[in-house]
Amino acid sequence: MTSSTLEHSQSQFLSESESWSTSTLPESARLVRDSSAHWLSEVVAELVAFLSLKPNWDSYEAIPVRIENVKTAIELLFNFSAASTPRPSVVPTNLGGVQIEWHQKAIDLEIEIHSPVAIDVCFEDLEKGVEREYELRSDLHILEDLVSKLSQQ
Amino acid sequence: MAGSEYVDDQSILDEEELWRRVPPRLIIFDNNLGVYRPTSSAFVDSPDGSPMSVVMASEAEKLNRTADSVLIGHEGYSLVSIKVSFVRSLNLGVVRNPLPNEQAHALVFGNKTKSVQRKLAKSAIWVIHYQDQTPP
Repeated sequence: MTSSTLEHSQSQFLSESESWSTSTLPESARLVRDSSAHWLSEVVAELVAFLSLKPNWDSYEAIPVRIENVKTAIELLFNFSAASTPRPSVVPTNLGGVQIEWHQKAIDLEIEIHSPVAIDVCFEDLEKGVEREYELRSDLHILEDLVSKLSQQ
Repeated sequence: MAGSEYVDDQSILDEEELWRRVPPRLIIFDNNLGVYRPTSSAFVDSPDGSPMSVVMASEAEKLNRTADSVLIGHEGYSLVSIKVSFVRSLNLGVVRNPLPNEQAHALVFGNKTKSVQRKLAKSAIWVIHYQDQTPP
């Protein structure tokens, strides 16, 4: 992506998302923490760039990423990551969603945002052999616990 | 769920390799494994509900095609391979589905839970890996 395209996406994102005071998350899911993770601005830029993806961006008929899902991903990262949280990978999904994922410290954690109120989480502790899947709809506090496991040590 | 109308084609051998394109945005670095690999989101059904598209390697070879041919027109994409035996071990099935522009086309049908997608992603072997990344 060219820098001008990215700038356009960012300005489009900022104009369309009205204000950061308008949360995409259900009220019961909102936290008040404000992350100080050093990688946040880079990851936010990556997420915003997803908004430039055209239909069929994966060559398998994927639909464009929806702005509300980008907003939700950014909100989740601000809410649940700490200064010690490692940098996640972020990828678009073919149904217009966004996935945030960590694969480190013997933990696999994938958070797939289908919509602001439909978030699937897959957690695996590779050392303990524990795998869990969660379908989150309004209470997202389990994410705080799962992400904190990555931030330890 | 995509695939209920399909029946696993037993004429497709367990040893068959299935190729799937991976766009650059769906490649992540797995620190646990120490490698780049496709994300789980690369192994999904189509948005219209039809099952996951693949190309049968042996069918492509019968047509005197190489793996590169699957990436024509898809600059920057990579190609991965998954064995049919592994696909079947995940309770998925495979059926031929030749298309006018892709005679070796096939479909992988069945319920692709997140766990199944992750297993597919971790088992995928690079056939062509377009490398334009450095580890984070």
